[in-house]
Amino acid sequence: MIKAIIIDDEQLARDVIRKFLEDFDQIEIAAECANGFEGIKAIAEHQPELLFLDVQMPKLTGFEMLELLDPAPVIVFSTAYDQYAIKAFELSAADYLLKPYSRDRFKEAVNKALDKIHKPEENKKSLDKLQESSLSKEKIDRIVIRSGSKLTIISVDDIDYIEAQDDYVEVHSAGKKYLKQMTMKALENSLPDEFVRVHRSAIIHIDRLDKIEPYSKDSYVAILKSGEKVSVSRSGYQLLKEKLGF
Amino acid sequence: MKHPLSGKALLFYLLAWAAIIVAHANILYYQLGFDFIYSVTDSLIYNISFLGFGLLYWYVVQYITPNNQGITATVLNQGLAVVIGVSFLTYLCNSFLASFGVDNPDVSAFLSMSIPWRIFLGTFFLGMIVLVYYLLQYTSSLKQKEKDEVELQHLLKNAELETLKFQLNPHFIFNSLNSISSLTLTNPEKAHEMVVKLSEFLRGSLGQKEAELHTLKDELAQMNRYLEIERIRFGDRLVLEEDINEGCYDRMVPNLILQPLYENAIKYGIYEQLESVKIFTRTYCTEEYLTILISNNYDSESTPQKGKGIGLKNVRNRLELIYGKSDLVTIKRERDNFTIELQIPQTQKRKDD
Repeated sequence: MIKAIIIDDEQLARDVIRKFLEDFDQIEIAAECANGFEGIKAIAEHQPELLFLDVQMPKLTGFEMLELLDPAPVIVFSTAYDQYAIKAFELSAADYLLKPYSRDRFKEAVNKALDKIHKPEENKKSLDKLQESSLSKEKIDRIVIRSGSKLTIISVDDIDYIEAQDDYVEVHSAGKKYLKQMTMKALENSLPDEFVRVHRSAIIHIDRLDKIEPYSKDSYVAILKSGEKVSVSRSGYQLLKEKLGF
Repeated sequence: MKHPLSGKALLFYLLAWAAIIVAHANILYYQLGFDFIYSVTDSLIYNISFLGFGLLYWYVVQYITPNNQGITATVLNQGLAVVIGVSFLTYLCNSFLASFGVDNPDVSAFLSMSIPWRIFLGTFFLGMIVLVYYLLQYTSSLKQKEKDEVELQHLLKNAELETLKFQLNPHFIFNSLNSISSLTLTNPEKAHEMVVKLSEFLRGSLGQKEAELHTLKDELAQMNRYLEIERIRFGDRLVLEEDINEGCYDRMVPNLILQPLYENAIKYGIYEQLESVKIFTRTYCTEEYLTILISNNYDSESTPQKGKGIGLKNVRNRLELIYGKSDLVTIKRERDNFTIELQIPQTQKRKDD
């Protein structure tokens, strides 16, 4: 049996999926969720192989939810918004259903998803792809962080700086630190222009910068308004110079 | 532009020439002592030729204008044309009048002696006429420009209003269709009901070109169709409450002005919190204003996605264009409640009554 979870904030939209899944004896619906928070919990509990995911949902979008899943199940997106299709495929979604869709179209999507489930080696790449998905040049407004079962949503305006920590990034906001599994490169690409990669292991929010002082012959240190210090490399110093025009 | 000397102006022109004809004949008869027939004939032939020439000259004026030739070129060209025209005409008249001089040497001498005078006077008359033509042309083009300007302003305002008008959100349509597709599988009766509601809503929204304003009653009826559809979609998560003063039903409001406000309320209320959203509509009115308040609860802790203020900005701009006031929209952001207040001026309506 393949376990599936349906996550959509509209009951009627979930009903269609439930109804159409009656054609697939090998798929069992483990849970139905009305938002991303419930979804995260249900996924942790049931460990499904297949996810039917809406994009626009309360609090947490389907994409943001997906970022928090590792490993991610095979995903079929369903949404009324066609502008998300490219991003969905970048995230190696099995398929992308535009609401409303026909029974045949749904079958096609599920069959694609089943193929993917049976060839897990291809699916492994999905998370790496997800991390680099910011290549789509889309800038983010907020960042979602999961620690245990707790989710925190931080507006990019509230981020002071970010430091690399092995496979993670450490987001500093108002004196607090949050760990997120992501590469510096991916984060750098998706953050808006107010953020500058000042060092291989640091990105700062330029609005928070107080001053820059020389540290050694080839490096500098940025002192933030909060008093926190961040190392700046020579190339980082050049970037700041361009950005701030000093 | 049509010939300016028509109707009353033409009569005035003819009268002026009649006065000149009389004066001309008088001078010849009384002052210079020519006989009556010659005096009258000379005056008529000479002046009627110029009268006609002056009328026809309008068509020359139309082709030589400062707009297409520049002022200096126009003055030079016109000066030259007038002098040549007058000289030629004088020559023609003189040749005709010369038959009187065959057995009257006085006439013959007068004709050759008076040529410079005739050219001078003719040039003077024609010059005056040309000047009048140019003046008339100038004022008429000024008036035309003003009219064009007003027309242009009007067109611009209309175009702007058109872009600010409520635009049907395709996602709303597709999500509604998806709800219907779901209901057809589980609850055909309800699906039918929703198709009817959606049709009614579309009828009211797609054909909204006719009138800029309609009554509050019509506006609320249309909004109810929209909200009922959303209620089928979101179920218990959308709670609607209202306090409508029915005495305000006949007040005028811009077509579908409330739609973006409800869309916003649903977007913030539904997508930025997990609890249900309560949308509260309240209206009351005075002689001068109709006030509409739409509020929704929201999660003040939430981190909304950006780029959601366009609907509200359009409402503000549209009201400003229609009523010429920029302070008709007020936003109140309380701890967990978001309220938008619209003040719709009612003076226009009373004028129409």
